[in-house]
Amino acid sequence: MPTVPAESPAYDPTRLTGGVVYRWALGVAVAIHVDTTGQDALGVDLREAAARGLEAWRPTWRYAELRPRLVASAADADVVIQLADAPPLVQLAGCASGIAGAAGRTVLCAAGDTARTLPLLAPGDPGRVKVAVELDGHAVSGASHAVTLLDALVAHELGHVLGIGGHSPLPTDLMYAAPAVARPSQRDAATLRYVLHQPGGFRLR
Amino acid sequence: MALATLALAAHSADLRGQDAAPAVTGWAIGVAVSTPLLADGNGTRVRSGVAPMLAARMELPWPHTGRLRPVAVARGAVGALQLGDRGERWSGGTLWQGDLLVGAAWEGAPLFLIGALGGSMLHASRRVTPLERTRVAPAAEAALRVRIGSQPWVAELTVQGLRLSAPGGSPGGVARFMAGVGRAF
Repeated sequence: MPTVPAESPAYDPTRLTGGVVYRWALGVAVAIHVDTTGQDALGVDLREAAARGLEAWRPTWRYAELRPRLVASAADADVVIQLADAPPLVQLAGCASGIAGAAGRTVLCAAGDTARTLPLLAPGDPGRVKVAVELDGHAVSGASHAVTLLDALVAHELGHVLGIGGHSPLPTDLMYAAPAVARPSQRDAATLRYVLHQPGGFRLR
Repeated sequence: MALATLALAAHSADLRGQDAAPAVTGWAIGVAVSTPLLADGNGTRVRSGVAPMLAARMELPWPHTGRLRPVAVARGAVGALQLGDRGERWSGGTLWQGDLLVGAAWEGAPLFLIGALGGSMLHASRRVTPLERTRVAPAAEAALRVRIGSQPWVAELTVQGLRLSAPGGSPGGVARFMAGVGRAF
């Protein structure tokens, strides 16, 4: 039968998680809610940036392992993305500081072999959010190329959302701590493909 | 993999070595199984599985001599892709497959032996290696068809081989086995 050789990660995808692998169960639909509160002051469109980021990552997986999609409500989401200055949508108390970069933070917590639900702060159903992303809007506001900076920032945090729990040492990679590119490199793609098929660790869903 | 194979079938109305006869259509229903489409060194296998099959075959007999005659085969199929990795299973979406082959049939009523060469076009609803979205692969097949009783019912067994490759990988063969019963018109 046709074969494809095993692939190694280009950099350590667990460096910021203490050696622990985390990923989504293969084939699940990952619902992502983007809170647009505060974006007008920055003159950016967070939802469009997230859509572009997902499209940038989409060609990197080979076997339909991930099916991310944007949803309108946090109540239907596995992931929420919002500006750090916006009123928080989920409760992060009890979680570690998360995977932090120059202008963003991705927060998720393990509970055994699964991820803990980050309960919605709105009254009612606590929801099913597993990952929360906070973006520092001040890092892009006022810049002449704010959209490009935002795209890089959002795509970088999406890399953490999808399973890369580390940073690349190369500035040509999207997962460099201070990303200067808005699309994953071949190294980023190889690292994500490696993570997607690792046993152990914990599952986000 | 759930395969529903549709092929238009045509048989000569006179199957005893007459000159060119009109095409005859027929259908068959049965099951199909395939060997894996790909093995990834990181653990993923792309495969189809045992599935119900619906087939309609069309063969176009040309002027022939004796019991050997040229035939053309066109077949369509639709089914599902199954993916697996160390106990995890997930769907790869839908796979459409269209075959076009030419070959020769040997008639030894009630048996018919058919060998054919051609190509198969595979289209997946999701981007899954080695298919990506659409892939054309060389194909070869051999079929045994047996007329059942005095009515135009037939039993069919077909073995098809494909050659697929993936970017950055090594090419290999995929075998599909189809068995069914049907009727010729």
